[in-house]
Amino acid sequence: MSATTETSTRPPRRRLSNTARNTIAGWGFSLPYLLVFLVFMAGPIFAALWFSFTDFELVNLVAPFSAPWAGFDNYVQAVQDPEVRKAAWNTAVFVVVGVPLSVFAGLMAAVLIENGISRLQSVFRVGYYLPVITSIIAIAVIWRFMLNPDIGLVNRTLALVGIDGPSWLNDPSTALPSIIVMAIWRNLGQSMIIFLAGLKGVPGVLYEASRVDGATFWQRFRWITLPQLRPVTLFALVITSIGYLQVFEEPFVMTQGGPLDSTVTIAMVIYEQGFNFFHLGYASAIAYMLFLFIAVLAFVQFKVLGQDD
Amino acid sequence: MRPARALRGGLLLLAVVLMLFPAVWMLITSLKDIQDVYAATVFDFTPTLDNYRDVFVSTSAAGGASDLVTNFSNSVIITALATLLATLIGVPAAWGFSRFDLKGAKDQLFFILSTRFMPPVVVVIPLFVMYRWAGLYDTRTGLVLLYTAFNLPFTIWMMKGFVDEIPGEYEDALMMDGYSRLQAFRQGSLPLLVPGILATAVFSMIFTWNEFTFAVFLTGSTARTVPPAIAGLLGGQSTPWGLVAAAAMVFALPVLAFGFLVRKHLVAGMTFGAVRR
Repeated sequence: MSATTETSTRPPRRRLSNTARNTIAGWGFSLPYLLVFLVFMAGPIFAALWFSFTDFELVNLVAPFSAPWAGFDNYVQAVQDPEVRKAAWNTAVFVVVGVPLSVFAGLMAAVLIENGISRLQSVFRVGYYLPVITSIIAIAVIWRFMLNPDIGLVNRTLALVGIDGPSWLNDPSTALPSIIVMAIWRNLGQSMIIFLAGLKGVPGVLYEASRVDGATFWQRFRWITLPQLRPVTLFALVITSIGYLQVFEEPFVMTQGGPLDSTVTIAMVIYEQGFNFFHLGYASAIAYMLFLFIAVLAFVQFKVLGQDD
Repeated sequence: MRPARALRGGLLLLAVVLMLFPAVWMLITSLKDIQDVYAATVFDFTPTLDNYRDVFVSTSAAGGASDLVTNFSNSVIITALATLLATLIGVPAAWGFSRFDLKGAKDQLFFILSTRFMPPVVVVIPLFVMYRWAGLYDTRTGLVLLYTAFNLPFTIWMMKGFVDEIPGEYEDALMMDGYSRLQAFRQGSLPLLVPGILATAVFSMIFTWNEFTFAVFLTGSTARTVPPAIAGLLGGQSTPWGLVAAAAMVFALPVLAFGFLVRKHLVAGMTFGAVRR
């Protein structure tokens, strides 16, 4: 699957000095990238860590090093902050409910496409991947309109069968579920593409042998397809979880975190604290907790699900 | 077997309709005037292109360009420059990683991949501070630099895969004939890499064009790109849904066209090159 292996057909280097020169040349080519990496990624990561231990506010912007040291105060405050707790809970619900459903829907779509249709496969693939490459903003806008209680498509359709639809995004009990459904709708295409690629890698011999043995469709799915797709499933789970933990655009566009904080997420709190109230130190502490959590989760998922490889 | 197959086909068809209908409905809405948007019927209306005109021309009495035009030109310029820079820096770097046996190259590649896992919200606060301090806040230059930096890991990772697929012998043979290492790359490998470079650049363009988080944190009004601008249209008491729909359509169409162009590489692009085919 992964084709990033070295080409082994290269002839051996002739002279040692050549190797040394090659090393210098090779590093030379990657130097611009390394500089960019230091300035825009490594630097900010360490800076964020430092900010998180200070009371960095708007006044410190003119002289970033003047922010007073705060020790672990920001972290202690974040853990006790009811809004952060609410946001952590919402984000957890989003991940725990949304990730398995997105990945499962993607798997179903991939298996159906692979087995059901051969002639129109490309049409179906396009239908599912369009939402993935379309801007999340355009999609959130469409969904906000579809869920509009008065003129939205969803409630108009419900009205046809005599149901008075709820005020989806304005009701604390339906706002978060609505956003989760939208996220699944959008992301199942990504999982599907990953699974379609994985299905191509399953040796056809396995299916032929199982047919000879009289296995049913579900038996083949359970005992051949699923085990063969394990690494691909891991990959889909990891990247979907990482994406969902950072959920920001959806609530930002659709609900601004409301009603009654029912859709506020960790990334939304970081935005509010950092850019509405300019508590940049406090926001950095929350961001760092999210960062560490994502790193640990990715690590654990690789360990737990990847142990056979 | 036949009924099962028909059932599966039907399920798929239903699902595709569910997937595509929101887009169709948005297209319909973009062709409606404000009365028709709020009218009781969905399909009975007189199509108008007024919303599309309003995306590009201001509705105020003075006329002239609308704010969205500024946003669109920002998006076009920033996306083009950031993609160009990422390609110019990224392709040689990918070639270096692929062709030279570098000590520590593995670690570097791991770092490149790990940036995929880094949440933008973590680095955006230090970047905001840095940009305010350096005068890059709310400038196109600032966003171009930032997007170049964030497209580079992807460009290098994708391009390394493409370079790996081209045997090094072409270059070795040319070097035997007296070409320098760089000339050998230009004459031997570069022509073969063009399709890969184009596909990678298209993905960089899509990512940059769609990017929202950095744009909303690091711009005010001058350098604001389209995604935060469209989100901003939703703020007020009554949302101009026709205009929003038209802006979203104009914004989404180039991506769909480009996505169609790179459909063969979609798996590699969407999975950061981790799953190639």
